[in-house]
Amino acid sequence: MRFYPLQPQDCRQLKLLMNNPSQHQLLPHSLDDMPSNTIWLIPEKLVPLGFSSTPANSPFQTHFNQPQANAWPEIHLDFKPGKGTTIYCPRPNSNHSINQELKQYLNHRQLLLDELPFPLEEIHQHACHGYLTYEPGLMTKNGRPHCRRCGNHDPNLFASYHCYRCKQECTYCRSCIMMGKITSCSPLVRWLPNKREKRTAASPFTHPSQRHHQSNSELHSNPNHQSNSELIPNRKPDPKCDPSPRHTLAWTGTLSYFQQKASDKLYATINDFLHGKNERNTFLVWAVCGSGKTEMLFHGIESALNAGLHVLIATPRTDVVLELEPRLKAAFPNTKILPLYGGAEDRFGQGDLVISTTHQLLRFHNAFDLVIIDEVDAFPYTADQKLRYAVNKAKRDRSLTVFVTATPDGKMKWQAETGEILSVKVARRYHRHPLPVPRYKWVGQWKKKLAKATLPIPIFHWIQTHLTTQKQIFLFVPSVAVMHDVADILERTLQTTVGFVHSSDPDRREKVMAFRNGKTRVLVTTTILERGVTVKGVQVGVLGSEDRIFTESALVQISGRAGRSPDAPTGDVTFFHYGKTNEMVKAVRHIQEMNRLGDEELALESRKLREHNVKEQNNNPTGVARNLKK
Amino acid sequence: MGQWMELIRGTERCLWCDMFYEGNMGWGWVLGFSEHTHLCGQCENRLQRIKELSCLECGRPRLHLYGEEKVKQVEGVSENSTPFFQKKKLDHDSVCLDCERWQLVPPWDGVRFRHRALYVYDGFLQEVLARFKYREDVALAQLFGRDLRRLARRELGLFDFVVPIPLKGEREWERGFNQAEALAKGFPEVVPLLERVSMGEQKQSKRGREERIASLEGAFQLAELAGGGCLKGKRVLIVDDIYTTGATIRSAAGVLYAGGAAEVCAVTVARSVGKSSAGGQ
Repeated sequence: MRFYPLQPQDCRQLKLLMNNPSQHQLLPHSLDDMPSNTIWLIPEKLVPLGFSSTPANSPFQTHFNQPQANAWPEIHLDFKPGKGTTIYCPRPNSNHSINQELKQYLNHRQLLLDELPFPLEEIHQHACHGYLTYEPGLMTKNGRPHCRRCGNHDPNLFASYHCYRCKQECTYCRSCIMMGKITSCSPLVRWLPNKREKRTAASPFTHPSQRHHQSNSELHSNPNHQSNSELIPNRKPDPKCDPSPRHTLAWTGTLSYFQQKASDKLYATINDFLHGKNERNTFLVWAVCGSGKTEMLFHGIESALNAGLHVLIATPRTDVVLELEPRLKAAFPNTKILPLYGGAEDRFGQGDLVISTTHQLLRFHNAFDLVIIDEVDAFPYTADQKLRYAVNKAKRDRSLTVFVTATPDGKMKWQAETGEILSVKVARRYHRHPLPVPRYKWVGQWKKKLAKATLPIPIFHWIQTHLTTQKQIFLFVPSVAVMHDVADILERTLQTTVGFVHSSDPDRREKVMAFRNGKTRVLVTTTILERGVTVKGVQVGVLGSEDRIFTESALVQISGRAGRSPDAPTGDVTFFHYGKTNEMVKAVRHIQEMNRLGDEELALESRKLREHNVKEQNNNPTGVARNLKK
Repeated sequence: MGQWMELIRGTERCLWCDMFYEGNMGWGWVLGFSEHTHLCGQCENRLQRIKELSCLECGRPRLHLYGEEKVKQVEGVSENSTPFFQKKKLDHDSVCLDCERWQLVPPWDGVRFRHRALYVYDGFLQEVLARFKYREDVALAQLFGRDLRRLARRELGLFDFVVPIPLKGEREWERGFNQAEALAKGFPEVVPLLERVSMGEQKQSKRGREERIASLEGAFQLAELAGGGCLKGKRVLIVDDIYTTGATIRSAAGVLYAGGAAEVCAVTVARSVGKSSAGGQ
């Protein structure tokens, strides 16, 4: 869409020219403090046709007479960061009545005009009165396009075409196109935070006691300005404005020793954050696969919710959102929980606790105080960067980010070791058994064998041994093509049911269910399908673990599939390889290190217990007497 | 080492799944005249190319009930064992029921109309075209542009004009581009000979057959460009994205015939083959 960019002097001139009061709705309601380095945008669609007959020296006239591309220097909404021009946002006009529904839609979000089911006139009117602002969706950085919604800057993922809306070559982002197209001519609409409004209107999403802008002038001189002037909020729940009663935790289970430790530390960190005492704003929960991490988070989430924080749980996958939603709803019955994923019903709703996928998160802007990034079972790891970008955009300037992961990357590990970020390690599963350590098994040129429609003998041998002991088998392979071949071979040679499934399989859920029920004994797969696929006594094999896609984190995750159930806490994990890679070695060391840490802590715990018992016995002579009797 | 090999191998990037893949690396690639492919092998295989026709007029594909492989197993005869002349041979007036019905309506009892499509409109193609049309991913037009040109050349011959089906102004604004125009980019002779006059509120893709035909009465007219008898004796090719009942394309073709064109043909990316099979796949 084309916009008319008007300089301050143009705006003033135009205001004099307009005699019809309805036309005033195109311009900001006050022009008194419009700085000279700002511009004002008027959507082309809103400009009445009669405007072209205004006197010759009017700013519109020059635009209308030269409708060629070169006459629209700024229309592409393409602002170079160094240029110093920003879009003007007038001081909010308190006399103007706002559309609450529009506000609900836009609160803490950045949306495209096409996503808003409101007439453009109404939206622009809110812009005129200083309630919302347009921002460019696509920017050029160092001559390369950069999508401001999804953070994509890979030139391969941009394309350009002749656009009917702006009548010139237009670039768009192909990375986030499934959420609506971001082109160089489409603005993102953002609601401006406003002090006065916060006091009067209490939506469930905005807590009144938060975020006061100290100076308004600072705000409208620069709309992109991320205000650092937010006061440390006074985090006492305000009963008058809080629509829901205090959030209560209905979960009554008990935490294991390891879970309790992590939960306590998280609780303490959130408390520090509430009182503005925390010196770091990142917290890492390094928890091994299958350690029961959702339960660890409950107490922390409860205290944050009760303090009126907006809590977000971000995860790369829809499956995880669907799985977390009922669990959290059961745990927090009084809280409004908003699950967001592609195809969710209430995508523009509001909630105290938001569970979102990466993509849906991209629509948020400056919205959350506590962000929990749940990527424990995220695999493959490609969605990662996008998630980080989305989280950075969605969180507030003063916020706490909690990473919950089994495989932090090298940088984060290093930061945790040096104390640059706060962290806690959960080195044991909740059933207290150590993680199964993978074995290496060299199988030679398995690809050649596969071409001859057979598999290396050690694999057959391994599968046969486990099948005779009534165990189920997960076999991971590097690619879909290999998966089909392997499944064919196994089906032919084994007298058992063999299933195969990959991430974009339409019957994925049924196939996984069949495996979980035990109907399928061997499942050949390329990715970890679903979180918490807890099959009792499953054995895990990785064929071709030297492949590039099997990184350290992937291999650790894969190994974490075995021995999850407390009834069968051990399992066999085998890497069938043609040459050990560094990643494989690192993965095994990672698991061994975690087991060692767990042993140490268990030893410490039992020593403490013993000392505690001894003390008790000393204090309590009857107990000693009873013990002696025994 | 492995990573370097990947970099050398992954020369092209799939437009659908964004993965790097190995293009056709041969001497042609070295010398710089090999063609760019836009889909990786896996995505390419998911498209169902039309190989055999059951109707020579509207290009309806012949579909095997159980899929080709099963047919092979049952009959024990591979596809290649049928001699080529038997495979190609179709009755000259093998025309499907739909087209027979069309031939009763005035302009079509006198003139010939032929249509060919690249692919069967199945689940995957539906996904691709939905992203192309409704998500406005214009870059996907590259997938089909060149193949459409070749299909037209091979099956229908040479043309003087190529006409994309126009959109109504409002819808064009909504969509930001015209999908038929984007598909016709591969043709050198594109001339916008048609204009859209009227169109109901509803989208064509949400109507039944009768409604579609009824709604298209006088939907198109000749543009000023086509005035003055410049169409006389020329061959015109219409380009569009999907052929369902043929109502849109035939009404456009009717206008062109009325303008004096000698022959009008059409190519589309997808040929829909009835609700049962389109929904089932």
